[in-house]
Amino acid sequence: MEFFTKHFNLLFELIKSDLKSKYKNSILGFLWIIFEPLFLMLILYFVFNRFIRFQMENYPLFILSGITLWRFFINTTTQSLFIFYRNREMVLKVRIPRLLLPFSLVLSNLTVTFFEFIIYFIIFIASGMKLSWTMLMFLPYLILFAVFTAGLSIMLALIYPFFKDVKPGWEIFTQALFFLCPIFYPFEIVPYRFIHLYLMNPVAVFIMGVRDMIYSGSIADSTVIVNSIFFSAIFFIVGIILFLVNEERMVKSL
Amino acid sequence: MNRIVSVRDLHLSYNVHTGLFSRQIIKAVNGISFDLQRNEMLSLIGHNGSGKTTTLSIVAGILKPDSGEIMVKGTVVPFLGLGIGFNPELTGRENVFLYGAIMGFSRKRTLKIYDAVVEFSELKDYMNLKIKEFSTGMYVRLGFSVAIYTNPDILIIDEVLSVGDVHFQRKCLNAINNVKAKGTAIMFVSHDMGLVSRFSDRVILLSNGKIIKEGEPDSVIDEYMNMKENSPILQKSRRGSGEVEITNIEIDRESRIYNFDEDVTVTVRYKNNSRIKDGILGFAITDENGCLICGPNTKDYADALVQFSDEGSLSFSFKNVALNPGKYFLTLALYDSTNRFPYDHIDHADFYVLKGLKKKHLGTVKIPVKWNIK
Repeated sequence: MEFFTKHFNLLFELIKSDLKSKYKNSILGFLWIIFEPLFLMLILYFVFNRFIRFQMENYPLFILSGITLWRFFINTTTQSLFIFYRNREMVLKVRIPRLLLPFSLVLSNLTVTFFEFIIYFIIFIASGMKLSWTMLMFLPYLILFAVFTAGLSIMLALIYPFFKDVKPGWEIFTQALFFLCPIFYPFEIVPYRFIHLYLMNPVAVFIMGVRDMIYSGSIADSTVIVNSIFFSAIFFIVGIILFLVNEERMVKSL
Repeated sequence: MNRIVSVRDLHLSYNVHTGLFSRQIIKAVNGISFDLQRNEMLSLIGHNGSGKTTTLSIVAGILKPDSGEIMVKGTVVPFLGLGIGFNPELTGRENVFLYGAIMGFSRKRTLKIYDAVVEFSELKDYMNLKIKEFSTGMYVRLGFSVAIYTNPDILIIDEVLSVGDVHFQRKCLNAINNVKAKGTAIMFVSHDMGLVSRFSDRVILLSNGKIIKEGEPDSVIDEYMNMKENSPILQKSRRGSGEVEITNIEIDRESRIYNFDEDVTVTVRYKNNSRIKDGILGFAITDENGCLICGPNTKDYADALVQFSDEGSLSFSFKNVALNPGKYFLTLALYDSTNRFPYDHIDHADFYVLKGLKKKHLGTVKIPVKWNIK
C-alpha cells in the first residue's frame, strides 16, 4: 500500500495519459465507450435471438452485462502484452517502479469499464427492471476481478519480451475462451458432467458472479465467490513474484 | 569528502539469443570502479559498445549490476534518450507533467518549475502541440529543460546534446556549468571530443567494459585517439574484378603514429592474375566520421599509368601538411586504365594516427591563416 501512496502522482499521470491517448484523438472520443459494447451487444442479440432463436428474458441486458466484463478482461490482457515493450523508453531510460505500468493499464481500463457499467444501469432502469441494494456488491467484486486481471497481465507483460509468440498464442486462446464463458448463453445450459471443468475457467466464474449481482439482483453462489477470491489471490501473488524474480532479465531483453 | 557516487567492481552481462537454444553472453561492464564528487563533471569516452551507456544506466539505478558495489547519495536525473516524449499522443505540456511525475515530483512541484522550463526550452508556442509533431531537436530541448530544472544532485547526460542546434547546445552547456557550480555532479557521455575536453574535469576511457585510462581530459582523449580498434562505422569492405589483386599493405611505421609534417609511406603488394598491362593506383584518406578528405590517384595527380608485372610492389608517400591530430583511414585501390572498373578496391583498409600539435584545434584541417588583429 505504501507503494501506491508514494507513487500516487505517477500512477495518476500514467492512467491519465493512457486514457487521453486512447480517446482524445478520435472524433467521437469518449463516446466510443458507449458505442463499442452496444454494437457488440446488438450483433450478438441479432445472431442468437433473431437467427438462432435463443429465447431468454431481457436477453440484450444479459449479453451487455457479460460483454462489458469480457471487454475489460480482453482489452487489458491484450494491451498488457506490449506494455513494457511499448514503453521501452520509460523502462530503459528512467527509473520508475515498473509494476506501475501494468497497474496503470488495469486501472485506466477499469475506469472505462466503470462508465460502461453506468450505461448498463441506465438501460437496466429504462427497460423497467428494479434496482436493489445487493447490486452494490458488484463494485468490490469488480475490483476482485481487476486484481485477477492485473496478476495475469503482469505475467503476460513479463513473457512477451522473451517470447513474442505469446501474442498470437494469446489471441487464439482468448477466442476459444470467449465461447467458454457464459456471455451469450446462461451457465445453466452447460451439461452437468462438464460443470467442474467449466468452473476451472476464472473468467467464466467472475462473469457468473457479477451477473448474479447486477442482472439477477441476487448474491452470487458461495462456490463462485470462494473460487473468485482464490483465483484473484493466486494469480496476483504469482504474477508479482514472477515479476520480482525476472524483472532484471526482462529489462535486459527489451 | 564530497563523494556523491562511488562504484566498485561493477559487472553486468547481457544474454543475447542467437537462436532458439543458442545464446551469447556479452560482458557489457566488466569490473569498473570510480568515484564522483560534487561540483565535478566526469566524462566517459570510448567506442560504441564499450559500456558507457550501461555504466550510466547502472548509476542511474535503471539496471542492476550482476555484482559489485554501488553507492549513490542524492537524487539522480538520467537524461539518456531523447528525453521526454514518453507519450507521443500527448501535448508538450502534458508530457512535462508526466516527466515530472516520473522524476517523483508532485503536480504542484512540477507546476512551480513549469514556466521556467518552457522559457528555457524556447518552445512556448508549441506546448499545446502533440509531441509526435515535434522534431528531434525539440524533443531534446524540452527534455533537457525539465531535467535541468529538477535540480538533481547527479545529472547524467548521454550523447543527446549533439542533436540540438549550436545555439541551444551552448545554452545547455552554460546551464550545466551553472548547476555544477551549485553542487550538482555530472556524468557525461559524448563522441564530441571538443566538448569533452573543454567541459570535463576528469575523463574515463572505456573499452570492452573495462577502464583503460582515467585522468586529465587531454591525456585520456589522446589515448582514445591512439586506440587501434576500427570505428564500427568504417568497416573494411572490398570490391573489384580481382584481375589484379592487392596482397599486402604496409605502412612504414609499426606504431602508425606520425607527427605533424612527417611523411607517411605506404607500400602495396599486388599479384597480377590475368596478365593486365597497366592500370591506376589510387588511395583516399577518410576521417573517423567517414568523411572523405582527399582521393589522389596516379592518373589525376600525375597523368601516369602503373605498369603491372606478374607480381610486384608499388609505393607512395604523402606529407601531413594540413590535417589536425586524429585518426585517419586509408582506402587503397587498383583500377583499369579508364579509371572506371576496379581490379581491387579496399575501403578503410588501414589507418594511421596523427599527433604532434600541442594545442587542440577544432575541425579536421588546419589551414594557414594570417590574423590581422592589431
